[in-house]
Amino acid sequence: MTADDRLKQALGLEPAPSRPDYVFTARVMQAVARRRFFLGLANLGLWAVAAAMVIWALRPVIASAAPVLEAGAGLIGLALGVGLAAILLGRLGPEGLVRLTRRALARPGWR
Amino acid sequence: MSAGAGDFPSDPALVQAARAGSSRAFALLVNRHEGAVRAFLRRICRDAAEADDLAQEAFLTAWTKLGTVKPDASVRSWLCGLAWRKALTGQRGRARSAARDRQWLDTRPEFDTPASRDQLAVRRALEDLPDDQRAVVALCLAGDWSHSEAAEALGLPLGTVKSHAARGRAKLLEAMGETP
Repeated sequence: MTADDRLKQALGLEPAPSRPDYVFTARVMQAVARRRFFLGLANLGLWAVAAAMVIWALRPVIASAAPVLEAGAGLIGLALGVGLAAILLGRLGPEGLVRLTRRALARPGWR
Repeated sequence: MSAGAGDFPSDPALVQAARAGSSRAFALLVNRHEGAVRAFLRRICRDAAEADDLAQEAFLTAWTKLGTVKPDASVRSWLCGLAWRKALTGQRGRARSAARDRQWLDTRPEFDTPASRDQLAVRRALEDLPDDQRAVVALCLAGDWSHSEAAEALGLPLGTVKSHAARGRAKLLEAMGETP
């Protein structure tokens, strides 16, 4: 055995991790999910702060428009409903909506 | 996810998919490279649990820095580079751990086999090597990496890596009682 073989053997005696180690991967992915959640939360917090600041800045406008908004609450509700339906239609498509409706109608206790 | 070859997508394809938000692609990358990263860290850290913690931190950092991977770069080298920098920042803790290990090695009864004697001698000599040299030894002598791969991972010039490998080899052989 040459000197380099002995060296190689001595270095190679280190305990090598078993491959593939799914437990390790799962631990990493758990940490990634946690990091992703906190990043999302921080992002949401920033948006909430920004929205609060905008509302605070527009306070006088909102206060003066309050009677008009109250009068048009029905219209605003309708517009929001139509907007939501448009978003759902865009996401699911007509076939998806039909499937969703069928599933809802097929639920026990519907009829 | 765009696959490189059937069920085994290439590293750049996985990086691209993970960058786009695919957790599955990142998990595949972790699964593919955790062995190399952990083996490298175990050789330079001496403590397997600490090495695994560092490896986990390195992969977490990798997830946040996926955008910095160059398209033509080796993902394994990039990951080991991140791990190496993590290990350097945890150097103080590692020095304490090494001192504890050394104390334990000095007091425990020695196994009287040539292989275990070599292993102990190499372990002690590795601890005495400068950080850069130990990393090069862990990659090039123990891990069979090429000098250029190690240079890319550690961010060192190729000439420095070659000289570190030669000096590290000489010191380890000397510790084993061989003439380099």
